[in-house]
Order: sequence, then C-alpha cells, then structure tokens
Amino acid sequence: MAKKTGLSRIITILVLLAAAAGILYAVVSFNKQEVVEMKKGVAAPDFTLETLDGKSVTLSDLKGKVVLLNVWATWCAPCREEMPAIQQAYDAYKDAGLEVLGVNLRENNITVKGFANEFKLTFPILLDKEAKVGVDLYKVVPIPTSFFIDKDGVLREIASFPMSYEYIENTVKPLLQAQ
Amino acid sequence: MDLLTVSSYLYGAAFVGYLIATIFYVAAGVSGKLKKDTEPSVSRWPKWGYWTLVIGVIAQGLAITTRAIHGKYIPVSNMFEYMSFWAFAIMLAFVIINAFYKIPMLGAFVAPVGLLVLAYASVFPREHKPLIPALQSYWLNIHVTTAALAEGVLVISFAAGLMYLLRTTDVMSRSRSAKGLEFTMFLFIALLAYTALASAFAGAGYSVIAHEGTIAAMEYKLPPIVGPTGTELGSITSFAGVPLPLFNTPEWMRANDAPKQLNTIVWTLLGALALYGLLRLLLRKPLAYFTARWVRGMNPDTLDELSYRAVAIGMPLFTLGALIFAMIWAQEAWGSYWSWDPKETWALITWLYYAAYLHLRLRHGWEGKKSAWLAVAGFVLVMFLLVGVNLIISGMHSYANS
Amino acid sequence: MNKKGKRNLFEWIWDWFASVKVGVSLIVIIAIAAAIGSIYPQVNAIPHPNPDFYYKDKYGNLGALYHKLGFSEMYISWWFLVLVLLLGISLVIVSIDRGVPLYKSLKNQPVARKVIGIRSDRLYAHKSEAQTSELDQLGTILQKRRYKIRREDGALLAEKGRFPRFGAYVIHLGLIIVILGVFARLVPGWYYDSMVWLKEDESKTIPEVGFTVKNAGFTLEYYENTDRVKKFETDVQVFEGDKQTAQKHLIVNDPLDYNNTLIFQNSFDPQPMYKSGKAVMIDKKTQSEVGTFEIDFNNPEETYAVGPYTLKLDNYFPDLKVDAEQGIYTNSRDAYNPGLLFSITGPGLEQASQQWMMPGAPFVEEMLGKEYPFTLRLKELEAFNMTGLLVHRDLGIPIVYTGCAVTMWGFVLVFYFQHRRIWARLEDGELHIGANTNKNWLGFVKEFNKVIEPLGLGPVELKGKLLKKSEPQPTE
Repeated sequence: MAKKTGLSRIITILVLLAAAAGILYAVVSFNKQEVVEMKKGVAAPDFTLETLDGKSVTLSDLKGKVVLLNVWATWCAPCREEMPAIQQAYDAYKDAGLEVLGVNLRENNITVKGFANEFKLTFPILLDKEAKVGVDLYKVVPIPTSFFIDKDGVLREIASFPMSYEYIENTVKPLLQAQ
Repeated sequence: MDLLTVSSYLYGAAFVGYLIATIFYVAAGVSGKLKKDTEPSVSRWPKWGYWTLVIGVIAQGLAITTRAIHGKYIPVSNMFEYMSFWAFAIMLAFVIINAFYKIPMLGAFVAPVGLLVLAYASVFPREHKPLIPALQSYWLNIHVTTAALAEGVLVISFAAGLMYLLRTTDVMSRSRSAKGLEFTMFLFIALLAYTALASAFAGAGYSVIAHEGTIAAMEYKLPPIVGPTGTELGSITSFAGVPLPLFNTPEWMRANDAPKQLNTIVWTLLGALALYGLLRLLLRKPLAYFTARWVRGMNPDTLDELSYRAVAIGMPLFTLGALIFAMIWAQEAWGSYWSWDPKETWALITWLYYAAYLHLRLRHGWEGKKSAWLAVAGFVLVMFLLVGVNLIISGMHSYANS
Repeated sequence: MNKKGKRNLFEWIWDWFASVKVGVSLIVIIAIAAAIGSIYPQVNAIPHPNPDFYYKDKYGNLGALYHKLGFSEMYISWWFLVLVLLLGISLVIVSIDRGVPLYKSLKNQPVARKVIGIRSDRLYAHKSEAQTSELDQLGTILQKRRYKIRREDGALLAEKGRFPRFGAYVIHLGLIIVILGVFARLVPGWYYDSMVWLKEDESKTIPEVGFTVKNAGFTLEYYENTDRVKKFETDVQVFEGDKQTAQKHLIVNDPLDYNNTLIFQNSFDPQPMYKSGKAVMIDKKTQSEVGTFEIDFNNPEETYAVGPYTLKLDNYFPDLKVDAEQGIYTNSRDAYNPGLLFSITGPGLEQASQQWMMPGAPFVEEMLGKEYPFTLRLKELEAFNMTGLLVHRDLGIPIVYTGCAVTMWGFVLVFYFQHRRIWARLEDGELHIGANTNKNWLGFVKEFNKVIEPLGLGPVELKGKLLKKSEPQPTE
C-alpha cells in the first residue's frame, strides 16, 4: 500500500509542477509584446500607392534602383528631424540610382503638401490613407521607420529611428555599388 | 424642511447619542466597584450606555435613509458618506454582537472607535453631489455596504483583542506587550486630539485659502503648518504669531488634497503628543493602567473567543463585500474585475492578512495573546486601507478628490 | 538515486507544500509584495510612454530605484507569478494531504466504538438496566433530528454534518478555481482587452474578436454650469464584414454583449474635435461680409471661392502647436486645434495675401493677424468628442465567479455548520451514550440533553471548560 500512495503523490507533484511551469511560460511569453517584424533578406512586399500629384507608383516597377522606403507623418517630431537628411541623400544619390519613397500615414492632402513645400521635398510622397502599406503590409509600429531595398527588390535593412545623413549614406552606398 | 436637512439633524442626534453612550461606558469603567478580582464590575452604566447607543444607531439609520430618499441613491459615494456609514456599521455590529455575547465593558472600547470615526467623517464635505456615471450602479451599494459591515465587525475583533491584552498584560512592566498597549492608547489619544482640534477650529469658522485665485487654491480648515508643494514658507498666513506654512508637502504625495490632510496629521500629532504628555504628567502612570482596570475580573477566554468569533463572521463578510462584490462592480463599471488598483490591492492584502490569522489560530494554536495582537494589528491595517490609501496613493478608487 | 532516495525527495517536496507554515509564509510574502507594488503606479497605469523616464522624473531617485528593481511591474513579474503558483500548488497538496485521510477515517469509523472511549467523551450519559428497544428509541429520536443513523448489534452511531468538516478544503477548492479562471486568459481566443477610440462615424475592425465596431453617434452632457460629467453615451454598431449584426445605445455600466465579448462605454476624450464648419470672410476695411465657405476639418479642400476672391489652402495643421524650438507644427492628425494657412487672391490684391485662420486660438491669430486685410471667422461649427469604448472578452470570468461562490460556500461550511456525532453502546444491560462535535459545544449540549430526555436521562453538563483551546478530534 505504501508504495502505491508514494507513486500517486509523485505523480501529483509532477503534474502540478508541470502545469505551473506551463502557465509561467505562457504568461511570460504572453506579456512579451508580440513583435511581428519584417524579415530582412526576403523580397520586400509589393504595393501601389498614389502620390501627391495624383500619379500611381508601384514598388516592383522600381527594380534596378535602390529604394529607401520611409514611413512617416507630419505630427511625428523625429520624422521632421530626419527629413532634411533624407532630402539631402536623395539629392546626392538620385543620379546614382537611389529612389526615395515617402509613405505618409493617414493624413490629408493639404497637410502633407504643405509639409512637403515647407521642407522642399522633391522625392515622391505617397499617400497611405488607410495605412494599408505602412501598418498592414510593412508592420510599422513606431515612426519613423525606413526600409532599404536593393536593386533586386530584396529588403536589406530596417531603421526604426530618425536617421542621420551619415547613416543613410553608409547604408545606401553598398547597395548602390552592388550589381 | 427638506429631507436633507432632516438627515443632517439626525446625523447630529446620532453623534450626540454615541457621545453620551461613550461617556456612560467610560464612567462605568472608571467608577466600577469591584467585589473580587474575579467578578466583573457591577454597575448600571454599561446598560445605559448600551441603550443610548441603540438610540444613536436608530437615529443614524434614519439619517442614512432620509439622505438616501432625498438623493435617490444609497449614500456611500464620498468620504463623508462612507466613513459615517462605517461608524454606523461599527455601532450596529456592536449592538447585535453584544446581544449574543454579553460583555458589558465591550462598549467602552467599541463606542469610542465608532464615535471617533463619525467625528472624522464629519470633517469631510458633506455636499450631496450627483454621481458620475461610473458610480451609478446598484452593485456599488451592495459592495460598499457589505464591506463597511465587515469592517465594522472586524473592529469588534480589535476591541475584544485589545481587552484581552489589557486583561492579561502587566502594564507596569517593560515588556513589549506593555509598550505596545501604551502605544495603542496613544493612538486613541491621537484620534481624540484630532477630533477636538477639528471641531474647535470648525466651530470657530476657521478657514484660510492658500494660493487663492489660482488653480492650486486650497482651503485649509486648520492653520496650515504644512503648505502645498512649492509654497514659499511663511507666505500663506500666520497663527499665534507664527508665519505659516512651516514646511511643504513632499512631492511624492500625489492626492490632490494631500497638503490639507498632511497638515491635519501634523496637527493631530502635535495635539496627541501634547494631550498624552499632559495626561501622563497628571496621572503619573501609563494610560493602559487605567484602561486595564475596566477589564479587571473578566474572563480572558471569553474575550479571546469573542475576538476570534468576530473574525469568523467578519472575514467571510469581507471576502464577499470587499472582494467579490467589488470584483463584480469593477467588471460592470470598468470592464475588468481586477486591475491592481491600490484600493483593490489593499483589500486583497487585508484578506490575506486575516487568512493568515485564521490559519495561525486554527492550525498553529496561536491563541490568546498572539491572536489578540494579530486582531489589533489587523485593525490598523483596515484603517490604512480606508484612510491611507485615499490619502497617499491615488487611483480610480480614491474618494480623496470628491 | 535509488528508489528510496527518490521517494524521499518527493516526500520532502510534498511535505513542504503541505506545511501550513509554508502556506502562511507564502500568503505573507504575497501580501508584502502586493503592498510594495501599490506604492507607485504600475507601468500599465502611467500616463507616459517611456517608463524609464517617467519614474525618475516624477518620483525622483526612489522612483528610479523602484522601477529598476522591477517593482513597477510587480503583478506581471515572473517571480510574483511564481509565488502565486506555489500557493496554488500548496492549496492542492494540502487539501489532498489532510482531506484524504480525514475522508478515509470518517468513512471507516466503526459503529461499535469501545465503551472506554465513549465514557471519556465530554458529553456522556449512562443508563443501567437498559434494553435494545431503548437503543432503537434513541435511533428514532436522532433520525427525527436529521442525524444519519448506522446500526449494528448493540451499537449505534448517529452523525450529522460530516461534509462541513471539509469546509476548509472547499475554500481551497474555490480559490484554486479562481486561480484557474484567472489563468484561463492564456487560452488563445479567451481573452482580449483593449480600448477602441472612435470619432464620429468612425469604425475599427478588431481581428482578435472577429468583428468591426462603429461609433454611430456619441452624446456628452455635463451637469449645468459645472465640469462634472452627467452622462456620456454612444450608439454603437457591430459589423461582420459589411453586414450590420448588432447595435446598442451604450451607457456606462451597461455594455453590449456580442459573441461572448463585451463592449463597454468606458471613457471619452474630453477635448472636442472640429468636424466641419461654416466660415465667414469679412473685409476689414469696410467691415462687410465678403462671403461664406464650408470647411471640412477632416479632409479640407484645396481651394475655396468666396465672393470674388479665391482662397487656396497652402497648409493645414489639424492640431496646431507653436514652439520656440520646433516652430509651427501639428501635434496629431486629429482636429483639436486647427490652423489653416490661406493664400488669398482676387480684386484689390497685387500679390497673394497669406493669412492664418486659427478658430481655436483666437489670441494667437489676433497677434499674427494685425496686418491681415480680412477676418476669417467660424460662424457655425460642428464638433464632436471621441468616444472610448472598451472591448473586453474574458471567457475565464464565469470560472472566476464559480470559484468565488465555492469559496463563500466553504466559509459558510467552516464557520456556520458543525460535525456532530453521538455513539451509543448497549453492553451487559448498560447503555453508554457519548457525543462529540468540532465546534459550538454550547448548542450541542442543549441538543444532547433534549435527545436523552425521553430516555429519562440527563440533563448532563459538559466535562471540562466550555471554552477549551484546540480540541483534539477523536480519530478512531
């Protein structure tokens, strides 16, 4: 009889400890924010958006160029901070094959246009009115977030912070030099 | 005369009733003639005290009812209403329990607590304000009234525990028990000092507004020794020739009324020290010595049993009122039955405390003195739950801002 | 490790969890941890997105230390969780450890108890020259008092309220169920809790719960001449795909129950947003009205024809802020404080005249606009407040409530019921009656005396002090 009782106790303890461990694990992973990140090294998802001028832009049409996809909004202070650097980089490397797409999240035309005029932006500004590209497709959470896509349309680098001119240059140069 | 005024008069009548009852009980303790050490003092004072208390309870019951009818809600939604309801619960719990456990001098320890709680309640604004949407639910009434009743019953366990300790401790010795008892007496004096000060200044119509005309304007009903954070010292007013404030509220006290309430605490402390010092000087013996005489000759086992029984009644009631009903109301009002709000958290802590008490008593044989000290300390915990949380830690639950 | 050693380890673990000392210690530690967690607001309750900054800024060095030690996330920290789980395990093990033997011993207790044992009971009555019929009579009396009777030859055991003896374990069971109900949130799809902020006519799709919520109209009322809110209510609509499947007029405390999910009217944005308005353009020199035009603050037009003039909207800041460092910018994309920068062309203007319109900041506008040729003012305005709905699904709630009910039942069993037993032995013509209870001797004495009275016995008194400490229970 003693042996049997001992066994049932052992089993009880093991079951309870296993359940507790399971719950602990589940809670800890539940609490860690599920960060769904874009994967680098795979093809950047394709999309089509309209620009401020009413033209249509499709990402895959830009194959052969290096694309800096910048997701931003006018109310975002760090976005405002980095805009001059982006424009500067565009001016410097446009002829070398750099394309910059400024994807604006959810704002109205006038606000975006006014901003573009104020900051003298010459690269295409795309209006993502329903955040289908920025949020749904590219899973952007904090803005600004920039995606660097190489000539074959593969996503190479992601920057979730306001970039300096140096950073953009250092990231874009190798992509431009590659065949 | 509208019902609200009637209610006001009835509250006043209840207060007077409690006051007289307390006087009767204290007189009983002071004047009790003792035949032998084993017989309790025989006197008619306790009986008069009891029945005066009953009248007070009826008066306050009516006061609450008329206020409820006037405002079409059960009056437990601000500090004044809640604290006075708690005083009512304490007295009611006593009246009922005393009918079953006939311990004449129990009233001498419970009545002062109820009286002081009601006095404390009357310091708060009584304006009957219409309720914000989150509070308009009948679960609120059920939760708060049940919790108040439970906390009233736990006061009885405190009183009986205190009586047990006074009965079984040699208060003239320098033991920890003796020191602890004297400290408890001091706390009583502090409550008394507070009541006296608050009433005196309120009676004189004292009122000073700091930072008048700004959004930080704060009305003080006691001279502002403590000013709001960042006030220039000495700039508000002066009292007895001393420019006030003498110091300011520390930044980490977040409740809107913290400066006023901290000021009250400082005044209470000063008053308590003064009053206690005076009494010690006059009486030459620890205060516990005199209170201990009220319980001379009582059966300690009866007191111990009563203290435990009160927890046996109060703890399940507390579970129901302060936790379960609170969870149901929270789920209804805020969509989440538990959000670790400071008040919810402290209700849980109180519950855990009494759960530990029950286990220690029933399973570890912690009876007698140990159990009595736990009951006394438990009451301090409950008081913190009701007062301290509102004062220092603010949250959705806080009454401090109303 | 050999078999014996293994059993020792598990026995040790078992005894540890079954120990009341450990249980009480866990309770106390959890209470202290909970208290520490209440000192400063927890991370999920601070009004700032950056906790590292907030605690240091608002509470100084103490606050920074508090945050560093992890106390700012007390209740979701892994070690608080471990404490709770240990307590849960202890609740299970201690109940099995004490409950099972208790059950077995009560189940197997003999009917024919030894006379010596009966004679030592605290309630004892004795009759000489007794007969079996009297034993039967006793049985009948007790049966009428709802005792369960077990009979053997010359012996009787009457028992009432055995189940309440397990009250403590019922409480433990209830608490275990509550804990399970709380952790049920981990089951995928069982828990969702999030605020949904909706402007007028705005709808949001929530994939986790599988439907779309729409604000079809929000009402906000204040008590007259105060800033105390009287009521805030929303007409909410639920869509699955394009089809509307439910609607309700939501008031606080009265949620819409849809598909096991509750939609609460929880909150609102006290700051109103501009929706649309009618603006009037006045010539400052002549003080005559030039014309009016409509503005859609959510999606404004680029050009406006007002009288003979053309107004071109050069820039639009929905939530205008002016800062020494950052200049003029918008704080959000919601029209809380719209700032419109117009270029006006038309008769009498050699070049385009730029001017600001700031309906929400008239002082600033006035300051900037001293030289403006025109006054642009809002004549009519439609504004709205954003409603804050709480979408909440917690399928664990019924489990939690069940646990609460079981716990309360347990309390009632422990404190308000007693386990009473009465034994009787008829041996050599001597009838011995003994009785025992686990609490409330006073009441039991009364009942015992009532029971033995018809047999011509009693009343008997309780042996020993009425209030005895820690009664040992007879286990045989």
